[in-house]
Amino acid sequence: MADLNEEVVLKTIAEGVKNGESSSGVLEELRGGMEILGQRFADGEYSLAELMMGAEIFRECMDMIEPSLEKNGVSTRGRVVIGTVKGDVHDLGKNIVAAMLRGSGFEVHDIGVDKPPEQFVEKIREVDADIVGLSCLLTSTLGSMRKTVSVIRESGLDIKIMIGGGVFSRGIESTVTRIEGADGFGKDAVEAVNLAKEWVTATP
Amino acid sequence: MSETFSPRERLQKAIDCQTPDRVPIALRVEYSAALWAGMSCRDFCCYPHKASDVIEAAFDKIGGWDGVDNTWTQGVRFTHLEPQKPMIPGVDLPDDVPMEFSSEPSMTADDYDVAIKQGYYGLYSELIARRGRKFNRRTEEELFLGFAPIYRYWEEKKGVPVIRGGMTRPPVIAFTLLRTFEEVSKDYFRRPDKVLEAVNATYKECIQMGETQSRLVGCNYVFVPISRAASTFMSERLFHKFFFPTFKEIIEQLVKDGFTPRIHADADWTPFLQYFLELPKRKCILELEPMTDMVKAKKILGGHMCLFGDVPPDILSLGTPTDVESYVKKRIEDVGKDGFILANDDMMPHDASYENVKAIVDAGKKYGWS
Ligand code: B12
Repeated sequence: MADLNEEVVLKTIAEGVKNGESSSGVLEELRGGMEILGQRFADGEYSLAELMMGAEIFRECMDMIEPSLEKNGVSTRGRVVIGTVKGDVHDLGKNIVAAMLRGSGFEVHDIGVDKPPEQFVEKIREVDADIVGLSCLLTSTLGSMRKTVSVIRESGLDIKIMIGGGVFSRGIESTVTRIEGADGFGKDAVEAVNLAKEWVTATP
Repeated sequence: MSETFSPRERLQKAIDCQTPDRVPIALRVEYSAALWAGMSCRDFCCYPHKASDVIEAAFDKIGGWDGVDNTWTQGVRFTHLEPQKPMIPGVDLPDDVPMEFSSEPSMTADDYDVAIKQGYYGLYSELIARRGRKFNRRTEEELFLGFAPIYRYWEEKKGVPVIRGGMTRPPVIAFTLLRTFEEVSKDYFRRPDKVLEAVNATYKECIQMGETQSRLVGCNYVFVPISRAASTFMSERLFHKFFFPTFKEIIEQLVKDGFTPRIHADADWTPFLQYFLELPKRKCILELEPMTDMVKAKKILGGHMCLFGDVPPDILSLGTPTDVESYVKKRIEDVGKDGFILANDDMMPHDASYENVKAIVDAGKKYGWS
């Protein structure tokens, strides 16, 4: 998996499924692979391109084993709603965060780009999410990020808010980019996963 | 201090990695100039002469700088030369925001074969034709000849070099734009031979395109965007396999033919900096943004390649003139005055304030003297 050999991984999984191997066991292995992938990314050996390919293989495998996972009622680590805020259409970073969260056992609902606060709130309610992730790359949509955070807070939902995206990593004053009401910031996908893990283990 | 160099000489000295009378300043002013002048973004996008006029008004009011970008051509150029559907301010968008593109992909996996058989122009013609428009060498020539008088105006009447003639987009970069970065990333693993074959079949024409466009407007700077080959997007293995060998040839050829490549490198290039040592010495400009460690870049590339950058867009929109001044001051202290062109990073945001942009020039003229 971590070596991104699509053919081999898919064949192995297909055989596993056919031979009735436990789907949660297979899932564990896949997650292990994604973890190694994340590690290689953090070490600089892998780039976004490898993560994209890894996410794709992971998705294909999930498509194969999901039916039996549902049957066996395998639980997720937590539910995450993620999206890019209104006015902003950048999604490469958000997609990677979503893929890595999935790879770590979270159930991720990606609502897409250019989404108004109301749609975040709606989705959080619908899926009863534990965490919401907001992505933002433009300075001109920082206001939109602020608004989304405050609308989510005002909705009274019990939810952890995680923010991220390029606008926070280009070295401008942290006072300018501070978002009141957010619970945490992730510099990259690996940090996002660590934050999410921390939060779900902290909540009893 | 008094100026002893002309803008052209100042830029050339920096490209030679030497110290001019003061650090040259290059600005890529865009839609903000229209908004400062009360012009609609639609007019800036659709009418090159009007766009040039508001940039000139800003240029005069600020007190001038050393290199202007050809942003007045941008709207018309993109509308004709790119297959993605452009969204025009005042037509498809509000009238006070820049042009945007639909990010809908226009190239499929099968189109690598079109590139292999028909080359770079062939691929673009085909993709643009699918959107019901026409593109070939003739339409390109008409377009650039139409821009030429504005180039001459800046060069002759204003005495300022325009620092972008044509554009050479290396194949991998073009594919990621036409087909989306996500799809091309998967192609690197699923059909590596196809991608490579398409790269090899098209890169020579990419050189030609940049050179032809530059000749038509009489400007010897060729813009070479490479952001999507940065370490952010490509691992060293992929970089080697799909990008660097042909990129190196592209730059060598441009230099051999007398052009100055402006290598535009957004995102993080820090791990790849040593590769630029393999490119021709003192012939290119390397444009970086704050994601790349500029101080390290100077350490590695000092004396070899002129660095260009990098006042971030965020400061121009949200900061104050004092923020701009301290950024510029520190930048000049850090990278020195030999082989450095002070510039704003990449595109100037449309909500950049006039005072902040003026502050780049003022600070350059305050701290940049040798
Ligand atoms: C690729 C790109 C595009 C592509 C986007 C493709 C896509 N599908 O996303 C296209 C060409 C469409 C594009 C369009 C535009 N872009 Co753009 N774009 C970029 C570029 C070059 C790279 C961004 C990127 O994908 N980086 C790689 C990813 C992986 O990084 P990332 O998003 O930061 O994500 C990481 C972390 O931030 C974090 N993260 C991200 N999201 C989240 C979320 C959570 C919850 C967490 C915890 C973490 C997290 O994890 C990720 C992985 O490590 C940047 C330059 C730059 N250096 O950022 C400009 C840039 C962001 N764009 C810019 C601009 C201005 C635009 C346009 C307005 C231009 C225009 N006029 O058309 C439009 C935007 C239109 C709109 N309404 O949104 C400016 C923004 C300037 C500013 N200060 O506002 C930049 C900085 C370029 C510049 N220097 O001027 N762009």
